[in-house]
Amino acid sequence: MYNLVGNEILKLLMKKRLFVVFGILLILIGLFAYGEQYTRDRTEARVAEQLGIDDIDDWREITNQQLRDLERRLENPFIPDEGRASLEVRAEQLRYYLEKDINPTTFSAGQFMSNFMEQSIFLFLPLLIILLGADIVSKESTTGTIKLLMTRPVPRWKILTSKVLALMVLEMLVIFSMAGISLIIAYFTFGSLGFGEPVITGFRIVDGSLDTSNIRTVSLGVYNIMVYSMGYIVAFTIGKMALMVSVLVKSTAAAIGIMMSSLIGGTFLSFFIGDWELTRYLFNVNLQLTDFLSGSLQQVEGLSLGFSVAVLMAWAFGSMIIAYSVFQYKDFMD
Amino acid sequence: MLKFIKNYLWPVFLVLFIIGSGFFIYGVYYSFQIVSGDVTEELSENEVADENSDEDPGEVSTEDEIDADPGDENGAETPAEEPAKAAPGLNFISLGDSLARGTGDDKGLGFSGRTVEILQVSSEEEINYRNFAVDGFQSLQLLEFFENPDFLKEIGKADGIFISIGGNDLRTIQNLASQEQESAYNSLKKMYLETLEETFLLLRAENPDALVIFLGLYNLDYSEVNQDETEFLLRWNAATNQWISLEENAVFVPTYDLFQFQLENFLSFDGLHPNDKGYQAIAERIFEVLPSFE
Repeated sequence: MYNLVGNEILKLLMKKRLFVVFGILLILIGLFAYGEQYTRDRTEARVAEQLGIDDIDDWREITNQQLRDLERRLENPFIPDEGRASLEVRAEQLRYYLEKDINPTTFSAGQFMSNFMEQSIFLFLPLLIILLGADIVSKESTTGTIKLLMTRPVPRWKILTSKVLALMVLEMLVIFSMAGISLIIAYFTFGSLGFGEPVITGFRIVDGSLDTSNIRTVSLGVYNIMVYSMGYIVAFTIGKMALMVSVLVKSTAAAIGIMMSSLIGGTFLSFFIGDWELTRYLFNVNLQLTDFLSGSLQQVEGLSLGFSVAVLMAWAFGSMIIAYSVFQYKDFMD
Repeated sequence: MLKFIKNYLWPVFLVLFIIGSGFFIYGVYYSFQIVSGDVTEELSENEVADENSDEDPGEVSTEDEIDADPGDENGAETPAEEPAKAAPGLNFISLGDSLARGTGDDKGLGFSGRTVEILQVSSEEEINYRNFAVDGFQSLQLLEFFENPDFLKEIGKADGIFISIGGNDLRTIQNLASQEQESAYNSLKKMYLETLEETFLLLRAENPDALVIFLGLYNLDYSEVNQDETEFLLRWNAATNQWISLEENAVFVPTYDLFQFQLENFLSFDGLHPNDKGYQAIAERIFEVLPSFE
């Protein structure tokens, strides 16, 4: 098995698709970082102009004032419970910035990393995975190498399993390189890592509205691990689906086309008929797992982290069942 | 090249994969814990208390507040909780939104705190002042406060009540398209006035005599750019003014004119709330209209 998976990895690397993915990542992240820096400079200049001050150097004073303000608010005994929780975490955040002498308005590489994953988890990341995975079987059908593969004394399920595992390893590699490239580029652009900064998380959605009574802070480093593991769940599911499509159709172009159109079409669908209860079982609407961490409200009702992960896993397993049963009996010799 | 990939690169990938899996299993596990609110490892006592009150929001939270009360106050007031009116001196409280709380004020007093300060200079009696306003409050949220028995006790004790509310209500129509604003404004104003009426009903049931000082809204943009919104604001102020002025023991204090030519001087950093000067100006105006408290 070890050798089989090694062979599959070799094949995937030979196709140079992975390097295309790296190239796209490099260009895109570079552009994002530049754009982020540019807009930040612009807003800062505009704010400074509006307030009539040359530059906002006295962040310490402003932060102190905000903190005092929050503390005074907390003195009110009749404040609603959830309001109290959010005030407390915000005060905690400000205290951290003051203590560590960090300007809260500056942008750190860690923030850029998590932002990048949050933005790309529902479209960009799946596209990369489709690019990698959609031709993993169909390419062999197109070139005819599948016949060679089938004549070897290895059971068919083993061949498919080695492909599945190889894809899983490469998915991990894609996630790692997303993290690594964005970290390096953002570090050179923004100049600080900021993994110790507190991030507010722990929101819950109860009856369609945001429940903040349980929010708390985690360090940006841990938050990044959380966000990127959500990314891996998405990559895992999309990879399995791409593999299934790749088993079902013969041509690589068709496989990529099918996956892309279902990815984009499903997003449209959920947008137009968000009221329909069945839409919540589409994989598309469940891709934005990071929203549960950052506390953005979902457009489809009734989603939770557990539900979404369960739906994605169901899609992954369903795809695997179809892929294996078709691959086992398909006639590749025509 | 092929040999290199197969012999060296592939094991490296495998190790990376295993390490990555470890990270991600931890990440997923931790995410689930945080989202379900089950994280116990670093909980301070405070947060544990919060969690407990979650399970039974109605009852326990009020008990929580009672517990929290003595700590927050300066001991002088707590023993006199029950014989409410027996507390010496005058009692002033401040209710409503961020203006009533004093957001933007360097000293944190707000217009109500500053009014009390001015009053204290001329008054021989000691003035107790407590601030119960919450940033971002809308009229309905203020009304909900009146369900809290502890809060009603505070209302019962008060001789003067500062209220600033409605600004956040009105701001909700700002983001609407201009053709929708008119109808939204009308229904909003109707609801606001009804809420105000209900609030006063509850307030007067608890305390018929206290003087209510109700603050009018100022504009954030006096230029001619936003004439529609300015018009809404003026109508809002007029309606509130009329309603409050017809009430007994209540006075409406306008701020629109006060800020008209001094907006830049009176607004704080955030461009929304008054600064020290702004609050002081409001407080001085209020002081002028106040009767003498005996």
